[in-house]
Amino acid sequence: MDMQGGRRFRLSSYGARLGTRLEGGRVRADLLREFAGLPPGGALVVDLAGMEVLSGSFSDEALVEAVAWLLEDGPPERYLWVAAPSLETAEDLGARLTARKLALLALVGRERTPRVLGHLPPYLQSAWKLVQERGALTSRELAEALGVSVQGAAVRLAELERLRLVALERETRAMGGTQNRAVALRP
Amino acid sequence: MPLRRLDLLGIERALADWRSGHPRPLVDLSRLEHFDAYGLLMLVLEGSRCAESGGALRLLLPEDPQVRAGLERSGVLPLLDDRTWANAPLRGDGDVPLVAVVRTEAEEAVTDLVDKLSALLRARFPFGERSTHLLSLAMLELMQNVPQHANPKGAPFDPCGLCALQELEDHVHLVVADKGIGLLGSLRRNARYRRLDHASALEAVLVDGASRFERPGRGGALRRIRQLVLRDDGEFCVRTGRGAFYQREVEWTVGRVALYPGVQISVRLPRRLFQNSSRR
Repeated sequence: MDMQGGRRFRLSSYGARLGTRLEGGRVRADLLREFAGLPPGGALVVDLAGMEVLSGSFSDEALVEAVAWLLEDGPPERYLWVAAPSLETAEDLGARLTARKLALLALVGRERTPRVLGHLPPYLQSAWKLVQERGALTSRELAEALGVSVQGAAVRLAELERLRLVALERETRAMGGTQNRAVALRP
Repeated sequence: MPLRRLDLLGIERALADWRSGHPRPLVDLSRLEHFDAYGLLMLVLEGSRCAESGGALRLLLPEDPQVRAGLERSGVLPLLDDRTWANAPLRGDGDVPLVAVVRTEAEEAVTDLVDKLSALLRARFPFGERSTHLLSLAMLELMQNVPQHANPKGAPFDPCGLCALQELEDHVHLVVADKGIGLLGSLRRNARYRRLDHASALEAVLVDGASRFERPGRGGALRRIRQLVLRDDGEFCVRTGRGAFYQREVEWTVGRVALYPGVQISVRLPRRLFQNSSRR
């Protein structure tokens, strides 16, 4: 699924070195304002280009708290990404996400395919990678690929959707009824 | 007793002398041979403590002209409380400070202070970008802890937050110090850590990543800085209350020391890292 209505949020406009929780809180308020204007399916890409130093405290307050808000109270079908010039730039952010057991889609350097920054349990990692590789998967297709039950596959896809790492589309089956199809998110 | 060292290694002896003379201790630096940023910031903190108790430091300045000049150029003397007495005029001027010392008073001011100190580092070590970034990160994390942790309830005392950066022959030394409520005082705001003592608070914060925040996974900046410093072959030391933590390479130790308020943190990174960004 290509991001519709994607917006870029340049952190460097606040300064090349961002470190305090106070600054983080202000940036988060701006981020959430941007989020409010996103259409369904839209994404906000936090761009770390031009950043020299991004402290863990700032990342925690600005970005990790924003991810936590998105999962708990945020509008559905909106996505948060981070674009980092190098893995080192996003290192502290990744550590903070991991500590909070949260995850974020990231584009690092010139990579065209996203990676997950932060914490993603192994059983979800394999499912997420398959969705990314194939572009879209139903629970049944995922179950066959992973050798797990359909119910187990459905749980994996629902959890990935809750974490805003894939999009779920409801579709009608040929023999009647509906099924969910997980769709990979693309930058 | 005249002090020969006013540094990380010699500070415990100095503190014992100062304690016995509080609030008007005689600080005899006449035979001083060596000082570092850590010792200097402790001197400023002690001056502030004495002033709050109605006393003042009494200073005998170094007789060795080189040591005396170094002290004057350090930038630390103007930070001593106005009531400080010395056996000679306290001169704080100097064109190239050996130590950049700043007060960290409000969180709003932290980023500007770090920007200034980072510019100083960049000008001095143009090829040490990666290590300059690491020290900038450490300064941001450690300096904001002063307004956030040292006196969170706004009690009527000055936590006297200070930051110093010193360039030495073989390493670059960053010190952030205050005389606030200390790590234990901050950690006890989280109900999970009410029963800790100073030494176990140090372990909880620096090894386990404990913090004042109730929500698991928040905080943990000190542990992160410790990990980054060690990754670059640096040394990391924290003194708070009755506890002290020291780490070099993979070994760390926690010891009991004489009670002193606040948190004092020393980070030392090898100088070679600042001369070539690609070396680790």
